[in-house]
Amino acid sequence: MGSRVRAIALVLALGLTGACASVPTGGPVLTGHALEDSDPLSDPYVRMIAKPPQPGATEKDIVEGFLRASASLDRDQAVTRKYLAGGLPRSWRPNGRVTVYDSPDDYDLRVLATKSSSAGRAATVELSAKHVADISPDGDYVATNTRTVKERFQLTNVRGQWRITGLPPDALEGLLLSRRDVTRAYRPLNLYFYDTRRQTLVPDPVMVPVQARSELATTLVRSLLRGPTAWLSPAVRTTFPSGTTLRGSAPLNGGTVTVNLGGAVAGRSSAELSMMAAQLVWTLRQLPEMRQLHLQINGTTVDVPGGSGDGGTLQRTDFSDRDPSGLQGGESQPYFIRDGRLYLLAGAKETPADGPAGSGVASLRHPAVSFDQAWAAALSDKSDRLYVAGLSDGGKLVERYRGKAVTPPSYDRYGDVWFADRRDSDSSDVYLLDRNMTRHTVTSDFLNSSDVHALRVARDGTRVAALVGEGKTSKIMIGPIIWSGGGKVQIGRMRQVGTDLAQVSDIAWRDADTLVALGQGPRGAVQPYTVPANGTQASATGYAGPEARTITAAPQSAPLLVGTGPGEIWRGAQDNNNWQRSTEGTDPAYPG
Amino acid sequence: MKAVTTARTFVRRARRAGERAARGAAGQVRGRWRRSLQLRVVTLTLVISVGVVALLGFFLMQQIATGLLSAKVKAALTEQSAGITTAQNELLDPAYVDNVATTLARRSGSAGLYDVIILRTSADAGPDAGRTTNEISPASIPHRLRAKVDASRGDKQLYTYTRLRYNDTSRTEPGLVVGAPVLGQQYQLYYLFPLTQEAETLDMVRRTLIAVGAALVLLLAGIAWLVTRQVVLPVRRAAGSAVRLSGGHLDERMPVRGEDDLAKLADSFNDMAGNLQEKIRELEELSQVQRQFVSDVSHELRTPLTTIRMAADLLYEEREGFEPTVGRSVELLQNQLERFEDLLADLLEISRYDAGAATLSAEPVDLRDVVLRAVGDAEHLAESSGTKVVLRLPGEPCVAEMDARRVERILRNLLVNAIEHGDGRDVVVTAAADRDAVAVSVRDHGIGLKPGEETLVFDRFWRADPARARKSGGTGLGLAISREDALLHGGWLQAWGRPGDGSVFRLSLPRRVSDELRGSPLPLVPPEGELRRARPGMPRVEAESERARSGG
Repeated sequence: MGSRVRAIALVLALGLTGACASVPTGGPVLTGHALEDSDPLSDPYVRMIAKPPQPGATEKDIVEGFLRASASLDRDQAVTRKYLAGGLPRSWRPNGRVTVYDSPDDYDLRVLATKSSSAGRAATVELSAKHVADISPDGDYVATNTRTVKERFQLTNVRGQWRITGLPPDALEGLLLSRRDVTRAYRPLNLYFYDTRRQTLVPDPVMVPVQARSELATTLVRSLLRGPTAWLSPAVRTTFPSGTTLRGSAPLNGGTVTVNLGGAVAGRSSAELSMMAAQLVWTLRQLPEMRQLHLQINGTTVDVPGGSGDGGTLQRTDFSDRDPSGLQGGESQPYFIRDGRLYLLAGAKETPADGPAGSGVASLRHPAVSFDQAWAAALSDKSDRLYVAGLSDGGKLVERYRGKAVTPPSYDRYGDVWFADRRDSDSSDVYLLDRNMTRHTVTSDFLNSSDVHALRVARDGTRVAALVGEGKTSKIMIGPIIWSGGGKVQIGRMRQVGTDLAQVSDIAWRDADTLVALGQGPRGAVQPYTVPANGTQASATGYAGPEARTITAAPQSAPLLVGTGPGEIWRGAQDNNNWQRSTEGTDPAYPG
Repeated sequence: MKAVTTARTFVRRARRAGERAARGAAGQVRGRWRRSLQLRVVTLTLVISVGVVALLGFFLMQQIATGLLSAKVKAALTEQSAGITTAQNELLDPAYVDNVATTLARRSGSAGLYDVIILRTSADAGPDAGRTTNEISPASIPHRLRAKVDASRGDKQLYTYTRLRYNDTSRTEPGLVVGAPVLGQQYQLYYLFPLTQEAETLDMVRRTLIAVGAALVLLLAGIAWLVTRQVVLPVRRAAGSAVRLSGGHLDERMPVRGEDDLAKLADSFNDMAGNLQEKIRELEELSQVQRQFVSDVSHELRTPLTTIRMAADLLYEEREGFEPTVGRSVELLQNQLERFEDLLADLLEISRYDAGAATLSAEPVDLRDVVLRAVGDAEHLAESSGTKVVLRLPGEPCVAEMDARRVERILRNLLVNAIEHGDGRDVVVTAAADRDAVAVSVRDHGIGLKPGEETLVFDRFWRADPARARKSGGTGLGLAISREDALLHGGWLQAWGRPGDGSVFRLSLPRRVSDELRGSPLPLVPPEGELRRARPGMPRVEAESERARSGG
């Protein structure tokens, strides 16, 4: 071996060792895949730490501690039970019902009476708080009229320590939580069911207690199988046969949820399974880490038609045609009124709409355009007549209703027009004009005896939102639409949403679970607000000027449009926090 | 009961068999260990390198663990410090606790780097103990850290390692907890970092180190084996050469390669072998020259001797007519000339053996006849010395292939010797035969042989006692010739003797000349000799020397 060869070998060896000992700073560009197994905590949640009763605590401390501890939503409420005595620690079983009161700083605890007897000392503590909402055992969050409630706790002094031996009925069946506790400890999620026509999925909002991501999928599927909440159930249908059970749990591993159903679901046809799968996919896609669904019946994977994955795997984006919001992507183009004519705002271009509505044959206000942009309905100048016209050349503007004070019409995705007629300050009629131009009378105990300022039907045609006047102020109510046989329509029990808002002047449906409203919040100015349909708190979205009168919205990324008194249309930009003047006109309306 | 005992026996037997096998294997291993230099070197290398690699690996692991964890600790402290800043601003209003907890938890990102726990430790906290995030359990904060944070003054971040507990599973993970008080002692902010990633990294490093260490150790063993081969092979070759050299291949040489110690060894070996070969060749030459000389001399002497003999015969016949002194001289002359002739004949005979020119004309002959003839020849001498020759011959014929003339000569020689050295006592001649061989032994009870003389007695011109007068004038070559004759037949001629007890000379011949003689029908050591063993070991020595000689 010559010395030259040896030298070369030495140099090579040094080079290699030098190269592999350090971090690379060059190299080819590679494709990356995030680790499938990682469990992304994209949505952290906070839990209260429950404190067991301290020695030497007073009666008020014990009751306060009990209330705090029950907000921790521990498994089985182990720490909360430490505040109880007598037979209560074993027998207390909250059933999921929650009585929500306002913030804990506003409640008041008073020791009512203290008695000494042979059994020891006893005391009664009274809690007065503002009751703002209830959560039913099936997760339904219902805001109630704020009223002060008084709950009485019985305490006994056991071996020098005070313990609760008697709970008020609300706390005996469920929990007493403050609104902040509910915001912290519950997540509003939707369960998806079908409307009566079984074409669109309708969200049913429920409050689900926060828990580990691994268990959330199971809780959602179980709640879905239990069926819709009592409030919405007359208006929706579930395709899961009663008696369907979830076998085991629904584990979420690496983005795939495996749902194993048993019970009456076996033996259903593929079409029915497809409907059920759509419900499952839409319900579970609220979990951001869910990417695929694996449906099994009694352990065997089923191949569901309509899925785009292979071998019985459904992707997150499947069944998008059942979108509750109705629209299937793309920006929708709004319409507005200028000089009594209907205009279409396409991007920056404003053109008069086709057909008689845009021709100015009559002076129109408060237009509504159907989902397929084939029809338009509008009110006359004096808001006493309702016109309907086709949005194509060569149609006629037909008067379909004449009343006293008609509310702006509203279309759902099936082409039905809803409107109300204010008879007087405490009675209104509600009507529905279907595709065949047949007018149906809608019965609603509540609306028929209220002053309806505006009526908007959700695009899915299952719920209707009404702006109802109440003395000097107005409130937003939502109710389910119930079709009974023979073409009879009624609106079920209505509930208020956006309870923080006063002086609401206009409402519109943005998507299936959100409304927008122009109202006055606690700070006083009239602003556009986003009002969730599940009753949780509304939030302001920018400021659209002091003259804002009407508002309209469309799903997804369409900007909010506000019509002002002096005849300007403003649009919200950048997530609707900045408002800019868009064009001249009034009464903007998105189709649908 | 029977089954139990059977089982017990079986177990015992199995255990014993196992022990035997183990001992056998151990013995084998020990044997290999002793014999193989390479094995010893390789094993030693293995053992040492295992120790070294283990030590280095342990050290390396410690360093890596420390480095990894210190990096994590630094990152953790920075993270928590940022959290403290946020918390200090926001927690001035106790109502914001939820928001602060959510904000801080959200910062850990989708990778779940840490969880946050905020403890309310102010006196007016009441039953509100604080907030945890996600599924981390407040029990994960170890007491020792809590105590230190409780006692700290508010500007220090304190951290420790512990096991993190979760609410949703019973699993615990190794983790790092960093804690600090916020706003005096109103709150305490804890960041809990699961160290699963680091644990996995360290596991992987450990596994890699073990794999690499094992590979390294094996490689080192392999290298040691290769390297020792470099040394062991030449040594083995040298040993092989030495064996071959000692086995008679005198021209065996070792190849000399290079200039190192092994080359020096090879050089010296070659020198030694060369010298040996040279010397042996010289000796062989000398011996050859000597033999040639004897043969030549004998032949040359024959011619004048014949002439002298003729003249002496003439004189002998006319000895009556001479004066008594002259007649006596003529007798003497005749006698000595006879003796001279015998000696010459024997010398010629011996030289024929040396040249390898002796021929054997063998045919089946009955040994008893030969014995009788020999005894007849020696009768005259026996009578004159008063020795009785006792014959013990078997009844059946002892037929073997032999050259009768030679065998007779052997027996005559033995008889003459026995009578000569018998001191007048009986000489016993025994013959016997077995399936493969025949034998005849001549026993005398004379002065015997001293220990060691049984082999010397067959040397040429050897005399037991040089002072002793010979009656019948032997040449000194009789036993040497007899031995050569016996060897020509492929048989044995052996002697035994004890001083004072006489001696035995035994001739054994195979039945067929080509057969290899393995044993003799007659014992060499007489039974009486066995019984009267005064010194232990002496007959044994004789028997062993007999066996040793019979091989050649």
